Amino acid sequence: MKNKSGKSKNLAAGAVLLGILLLVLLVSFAYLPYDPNVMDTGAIFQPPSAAHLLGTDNFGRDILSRVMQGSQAAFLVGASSVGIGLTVGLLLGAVAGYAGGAVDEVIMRIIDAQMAFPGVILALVFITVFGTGTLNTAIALGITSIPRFCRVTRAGFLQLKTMDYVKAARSRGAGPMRLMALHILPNMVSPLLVTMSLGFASAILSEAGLSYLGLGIQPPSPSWGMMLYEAQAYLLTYPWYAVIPGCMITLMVLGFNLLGDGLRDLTDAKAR
Amino acid sequence: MSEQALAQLCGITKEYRVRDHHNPFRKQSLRAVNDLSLAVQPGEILGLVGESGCGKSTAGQLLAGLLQPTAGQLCYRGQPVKGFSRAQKQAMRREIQIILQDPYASLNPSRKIGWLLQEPLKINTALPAAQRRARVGQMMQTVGLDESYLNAYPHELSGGQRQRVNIAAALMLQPTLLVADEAVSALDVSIQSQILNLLLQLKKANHLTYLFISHDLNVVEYMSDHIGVMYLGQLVEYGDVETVYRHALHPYTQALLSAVPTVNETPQQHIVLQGEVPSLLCPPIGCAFCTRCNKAKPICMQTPAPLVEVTPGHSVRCHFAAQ
Repeated sequence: MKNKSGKSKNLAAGAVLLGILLLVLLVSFAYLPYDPNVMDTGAIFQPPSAAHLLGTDNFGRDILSRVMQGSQAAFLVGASSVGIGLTVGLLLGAVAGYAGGAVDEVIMRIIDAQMAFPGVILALVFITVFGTGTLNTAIALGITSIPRFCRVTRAGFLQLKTMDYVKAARSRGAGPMRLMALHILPNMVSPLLVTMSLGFASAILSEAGLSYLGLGIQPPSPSWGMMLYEAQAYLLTYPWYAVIPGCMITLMVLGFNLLGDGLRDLTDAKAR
Repeated sequence: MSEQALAQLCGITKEYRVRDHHNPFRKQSLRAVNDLSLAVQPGEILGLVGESGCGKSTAGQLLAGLLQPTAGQLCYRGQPVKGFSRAQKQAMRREIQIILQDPYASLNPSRKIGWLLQEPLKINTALPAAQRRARVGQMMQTVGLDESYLNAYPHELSGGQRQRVNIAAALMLQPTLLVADEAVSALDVSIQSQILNLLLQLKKANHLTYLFISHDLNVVEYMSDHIGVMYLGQLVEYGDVETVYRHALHPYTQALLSAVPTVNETPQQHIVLQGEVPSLLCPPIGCAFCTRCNKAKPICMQTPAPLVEVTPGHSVRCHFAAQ
C-alpha cells in the first residue's frame, strides 16, 4: 500500500510541475510583462521588485519575461528532438525487432556505433558542421536520442511478436504492416511514453548545455542555458540572475523525470 | 484411406537451428517434427496426443501455415500447396483456421472484442461495416456470448468466454478445417466440457473438420474419430479411436493409456515409464522410444523402427508391433 501511494505521488508531482510550466508557456504566447529583448541601461541588475518580479539582467532586460520566453525554446527543442528521435527510432526499432536475423543485426550494430559516441559530442559535431540555430539544435538532439527509442521499440517488438495473439492474427490473414501497427505497437505504448518523457528531460538538459557553450539557441532570443551562461560572471554579486534560469531547468527536468518514473511504475503495476 | 484427404502432411520435417551451448560458433539442428505423415479426412476429428515437447503443436501450426516445413510437403484437397498460386494460398489460409492454447495470450489486450471479431472480415472480404457487424453479432450468438461483450476488452472476460471469442474469431471466415491446439487445456474442467460440446455442435452445424491437439487422453477419446500418438517429433501410432484405445500396440501408447485416471473399481496395472524424454538435440540412434521402452531389445537401440500398417488403418512404429 505504501509503495502504491508513493508511485502515484511521483506521477502527480510530475504532472503538477509540468502543468505549471505548460501554463507559463501558454501565457508567454499571449502576454509578457516586458519585451524580453529590450535593454534598459538605467535599470541593470535590479533585484526582484514590484516592477521586475524576478529582477533584471546585465542589460536591464526583464528576467521574468526572458524566462517565460525561454520556455518556448525549451519546449520546442524538447518536443522536436523527441519527435525526431521517436519517428526514426520507432521505424528502425520496429523493423529490426519484427524482421530479426540479419536485418536486426545490421540496424542494431549501426545504433550501437552511434551509442558509442557521447550524445553531447555528437550534437556538437552536428552543430559545428551544419551551423547553430534552434532548428539545428533540435535536429542534433533528436539524432542523439534515436538509439534509446530504437532499443526500447526493438525490445518490445521482439517480445510481442511471439505472442499468441499476433500468431492468431497472422493465421487470419493479417500482413506484417497490419501486425506491427495494430497488434504489436498498441501494446507497447507505455514503455514508449516513459522513454518520451525521459527523452524530453534529457533533451532540455542537453539544450541548456549546448546553449551554455554558445552552440545552442543564439542570442538575443532567450534560452535558459544561455541565460545561465551570461549570468555566471555575476554569480556572487547578483545571484538571482543565475538561480532563476537554473531553477527553471531543474524544475522542468525534474517534472519530466517524475512523470516518466510515475508512468513506468503505473504500467509495471498493471503488468503484475 | 479411400476418400481423398482434406489436408495431408507428407513426410514433413521441421528443424530449428539452435545455438550449441558448448561451442558458440556452431549451430545444432533441433528436429521438432521428424518425417511426419498425417492425413485429415473431411468431416472427421483427428486427435493428436503426446506429452509436451513431442511436436504436436508444431504439427498443428505447420498445417495452419503459421510455420514453414524444412522438408516434406503439405497437400490440401489432394493438391501440393507448393504449386499453389497466391490466390489459392490465400483461399487455403482462410479455410484452415487455428485456435491457440492460451485464451489469455491469444487475444490482443488493447482491442475490443468487436474489433477482434471484425478483423478477419476486414482483411479478407470487402463487406461493408454494417454487414460485418451483423455477421459478428450472429457469430456471438452462435458461440454463446452476449452481444454486450462487443465493447468489452479481453481482460474483462473469463477464460471460457475468451476461448469462445477465439473460436468465434476462427469461425468468422467460415473455415473448413479448424486446428484446435490444446484449445481447452488452460480451462477449468467444467468450462472444458462446455467448450468441447460447443466445438462438437459447431462441427455438426458447419460441417467442419478438426485437428484436435491435446495431451488429455480422455478429452481426445471423447472428441476424436482417429488418433495419432506422437513421441519425440514422430508419429508412433495411428488408428481409429476404438482400435488405438482398445488394442494399442506401441509400448508408449500402452503406457500413456495405462496412466489415464479411470473410475473402474479394479485399478489398472500402471506402466510407469523410466527416465526422461531424450533431448531433441541428440535423439536415440535407433527407435526414438528405446531409452524408455520396457520391451526394448538390442535391435531397438540400433535400427529406427518404421511406421508399419499392422491392420488396415492402424499403423504402429515398433519393431515388435506385429507380434
